[in-house]
Amino acid sequence: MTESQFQDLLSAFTDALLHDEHEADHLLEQAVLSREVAPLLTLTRRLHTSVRPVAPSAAFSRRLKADLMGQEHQSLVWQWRQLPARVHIAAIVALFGGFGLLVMGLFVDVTRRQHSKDTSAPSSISSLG
Amino acid sequence: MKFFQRSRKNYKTLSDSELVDLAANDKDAFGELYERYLTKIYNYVYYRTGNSQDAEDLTAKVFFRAMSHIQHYEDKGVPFQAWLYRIAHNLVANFHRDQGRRKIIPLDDYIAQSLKSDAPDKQAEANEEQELLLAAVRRLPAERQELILLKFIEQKSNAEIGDMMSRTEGAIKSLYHRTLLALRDELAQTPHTTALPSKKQS
Repeated sequence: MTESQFQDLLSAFTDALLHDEHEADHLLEQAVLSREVAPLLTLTRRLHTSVRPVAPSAAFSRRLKADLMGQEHQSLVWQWRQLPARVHIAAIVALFGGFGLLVMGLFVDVTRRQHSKDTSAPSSISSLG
Repeated sequence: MKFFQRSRKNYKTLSDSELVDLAANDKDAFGELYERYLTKIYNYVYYRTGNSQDAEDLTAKVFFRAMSHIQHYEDKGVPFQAWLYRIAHNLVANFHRDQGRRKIIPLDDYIAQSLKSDAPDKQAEANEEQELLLAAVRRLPAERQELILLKFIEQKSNAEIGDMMSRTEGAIKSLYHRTLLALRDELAQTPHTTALPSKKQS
């Protein structure tokens, strides 16, 4: 086996190990393993089982992000801006709807008072007469 | 409507280079880059330092440095990820220089977690083997450690690693071969290690 073929086998075996272990076994069955190759393939398997992804703690991730983003991001304005657009729209519709109802209620109330004032006025005049 | 478009959800659809363009003036864009690369950078630093405390300190430094220099980053064929790894690489190198030696520390929490096993003897032996292997990886030159981490953690292809390390695919193949040979020899010199006969021994 030439050095180039050796390198190709190592890379192919590693890629197969990472993505499909059956493919790695298939490669091994096909390859004629010399004393030189076999220990390196064993080492590759050991690396595959030992060098595994780790994750930072959630507390660290949150703290670092808060530090990077700065204190202003703790504010209500920042928190509001993080909400999805549909929540923004719902909040604004609710706000305008509520305001509309309030105005409408006031209008109805004023109209009703006006109406009651109008209806009570002639009787008071007639009572004066 | 611009107000509504500032929702974080939109940043997720942007490419790295679009986010980098925005990040100089928009912290939320940088926040998205942070979310994308935090775990990758943490892994890189963790395996190169060997403990979670140093990994957290250095990971924080990487992102603070990236944020303060992001306006100087230009995509001249070097992906943002590679730029971030370069910062991490330099900070880890400084860390080791400041320590005055290559630290060979057990992967504390990783190993401690594994030790809580039902089969303590067998597990302890496996952990020792694993620790020896990882310690040997950390004694390799920086670029070889990087190659191992990019391959086994990031699961990058030789071509992708080549892009990140500014080398050809063939050069990466060759470097990988030499890295495995060096690691095999490194392990053979380590007392109490099993298997993997060195070329010198055979």
